[in-house]
Amino acid sequence: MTAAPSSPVSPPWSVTAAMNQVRTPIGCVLMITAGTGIFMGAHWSPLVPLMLAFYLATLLAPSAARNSLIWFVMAAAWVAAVMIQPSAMEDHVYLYLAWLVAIAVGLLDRDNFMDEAGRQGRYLLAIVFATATIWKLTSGSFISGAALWTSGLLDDRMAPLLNLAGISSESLADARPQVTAVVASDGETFDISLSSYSSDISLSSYSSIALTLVALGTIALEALIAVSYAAPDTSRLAKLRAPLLVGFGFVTYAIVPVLPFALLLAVIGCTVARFERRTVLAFVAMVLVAVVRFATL
Amino acid sequence: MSAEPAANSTADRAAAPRLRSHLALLRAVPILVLLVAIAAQATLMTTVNADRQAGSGFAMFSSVDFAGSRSVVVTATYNDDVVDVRLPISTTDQVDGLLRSPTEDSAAQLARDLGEFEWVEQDGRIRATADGTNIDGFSVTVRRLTADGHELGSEVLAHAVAP
Repeated sequence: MTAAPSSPVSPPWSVTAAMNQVRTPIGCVLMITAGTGIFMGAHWSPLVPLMLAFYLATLLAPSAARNSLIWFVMAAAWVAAVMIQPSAMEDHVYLYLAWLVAIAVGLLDRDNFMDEAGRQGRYLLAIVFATATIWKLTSGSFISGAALWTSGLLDDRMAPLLNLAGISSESLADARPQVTAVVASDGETFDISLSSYSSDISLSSYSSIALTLVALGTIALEALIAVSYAAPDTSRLAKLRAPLLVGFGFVTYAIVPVLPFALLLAVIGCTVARFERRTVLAFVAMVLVAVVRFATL
Repeated sequence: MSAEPAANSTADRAAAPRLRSHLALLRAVPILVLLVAIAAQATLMTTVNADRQAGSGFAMFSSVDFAGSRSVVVTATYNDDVVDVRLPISTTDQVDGLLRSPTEDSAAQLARDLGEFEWVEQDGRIRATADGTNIDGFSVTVRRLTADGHELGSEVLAHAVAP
């Protein structure tokens, strides 16, 4: 008679269970995903206590948390949230919802959970970044840099990016009332090319070119992320997945620190990479960048 | 004690192919959830000019047009002059809704609702007050930024005048 596979017998709610949970990839996926939900709760506060309880359950009662039904129920709670409070929801909430469903589906076949969750994560990220790329290519105002300039004008968090392009905070402050006048009346126009703000022609040219390069670089990065995650695991492009996504996270969240989105991308990225050690460290660094930027805003 | 897990394991193995065939269908669900959410927001963005930076569009920072860059312009005729209207704080949610998803109907509703207030002139504008006069004919216009290369302009998204 062979002995049953040895697994430490511990009470369902215990520190030992929590420690064992952290040591397995599946445990990490469930725990971090549930924890991310607490931050997602910023979009609808009634879900915060629920997500907090859910997170504690994944930590202290890992066996119970591996029940697919619980994850479907959590997904249903988020469906209710987006129906009740649609105006408070941002795009990463919908990605989170789809990821909850992906985990629920993955848990139906626990032996192959990491394979299934990794595959689902790949497709979800490919869709998200392909969509973002398509909007930027078709908006008509992104490639010129006008969209980034306008975002920087109205969102102070973007100022460091525009400063790098040679656009000073003072010139933005000067432009603000003029752009307000443009959008409030008929026939008014405003030229954002920087000769309007700077007598230094070389600086103006640099800024115009820099804005366009930032826009093109953003499109290229997001398109490459979409392609690398859509490509099969055997493709050479697959090796670029984590570096590209981490690079995107560093650049984006060092400017606009959307912590729930950073956490969600990190847990999906780590799942796709099967929690390979170096990849995990890179994603942890990416999340820390978002945390530091958020704390210093 | 060890027989039960073994039996479960055998049962699990027998059930596995059936589960996997169901999974083949269920596997598509997360992707469908995301695609439906994106399609719904894309439809709202293209039909009723819903805000690009809200909802499930994944269109953040992609355009000069988003709720924060739009404006709601309200005027009224007061003593035979067209004057700007300083909107009461109680209309803030209504105005936010107009900025996020401007329609002729919601603009008309705001124009009608403003007729319920009493107004007084101050510094060339009118503002709501408890002991002013009623005014009809409020005009509500929602405008958005446009860009032609580096040149910003604007256009009307929704417009309504209360009768």
